Amino acid sequence: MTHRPIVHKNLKVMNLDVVYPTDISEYNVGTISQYYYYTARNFIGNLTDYNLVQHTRSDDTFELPAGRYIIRTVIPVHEPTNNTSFTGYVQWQIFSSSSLNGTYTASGTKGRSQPGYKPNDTGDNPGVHSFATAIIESNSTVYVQTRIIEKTNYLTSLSSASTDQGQVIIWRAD
Amino acid sequence: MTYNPYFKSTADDSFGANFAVFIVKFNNQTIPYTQNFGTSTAVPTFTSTRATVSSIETLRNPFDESLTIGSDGKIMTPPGKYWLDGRLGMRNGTSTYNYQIGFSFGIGGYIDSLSEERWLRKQGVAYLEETVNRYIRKNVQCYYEASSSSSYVRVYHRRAYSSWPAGSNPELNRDGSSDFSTSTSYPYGATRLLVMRLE
Repeated sequence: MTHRPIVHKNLKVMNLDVVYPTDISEYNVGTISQYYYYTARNFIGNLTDYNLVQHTRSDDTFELPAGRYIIRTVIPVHEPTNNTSFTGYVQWQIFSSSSLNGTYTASGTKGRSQPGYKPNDTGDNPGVHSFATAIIESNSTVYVQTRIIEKTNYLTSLSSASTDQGQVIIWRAD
Repeated sequence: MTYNPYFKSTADDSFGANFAVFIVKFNNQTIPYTQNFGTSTAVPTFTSTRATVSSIETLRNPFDESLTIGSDGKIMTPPGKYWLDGRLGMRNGTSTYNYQIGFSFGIGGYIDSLSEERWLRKQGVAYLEETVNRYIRKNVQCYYEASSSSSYVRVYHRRAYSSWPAGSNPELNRDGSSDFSTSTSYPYGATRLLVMRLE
């Protein structure tokens, strides 16, 4: 029998922040989220062999080596002014491709945010959650993005409220 | 070594990735009003914002060392790499005026190279598991590297409003069985910190 040495395997994880949109056009369908490292976090993670590259905007695409990944994103969505009848919402999903400028395919659950004054489940759909999650498996380099896939009744201008809820988390199981 | 996603484990290494899992549980505590929640980098100095630990449950730990409970809400972490996932479970008040208000929630960690505790992540969290106002989630998730025997992480919470229209005071981990006339002690959900040691 061929001897195969013991491979020490560890879970790998990293997390970055999602850039907070400054213009309502950034919630248009097809917009790709941008990522950044907020230095006050102090740590990113032990998954280090990735690159942030540009597809349509700077740092909007992860270039990941072959592997199995679980990816989860939350897109920060501005709240409108206190409006009890506000039913607008934004949805997003994770997309992947085998080349940076190739064809991207959506996968996994959709994330959805309906910022409003009161809870309101208008727009709830099966498979829609407060974050988007996808499992990506590839035997070659894979490119991963988060894109806006729906914007419904979300017409208000952006408020100045600042939050830091946007986050992308990537796990690799070796 | 080139990573092979289709690598099949042999008997020698069939245990999968090495990691430990702990669940940190907290005491019943009022969620205090404080004027600030630290700064963008520094954790709050108000001791009332520190969630104090009641116990640590070990679900899986292939490493030699364990987490221990330190003073003032410190969770002592042996040198290693950690993933942290905190959930704020609270009783919001006594009225139905509960949809609007969020809380500040965060995890701090001692940074050896800076010789002080800094935020690992903080954010607003919602009372309801629903998108309301500007808050979306009930969890804070972050990564931490402990490098010495003095390394620790700590969970912080507060409310940003001095008055509390939802009535009474919001609390962590309050036994709500009498409020709901139910045998379920924590219908609000408990505050928990999941700690995974990765390396």
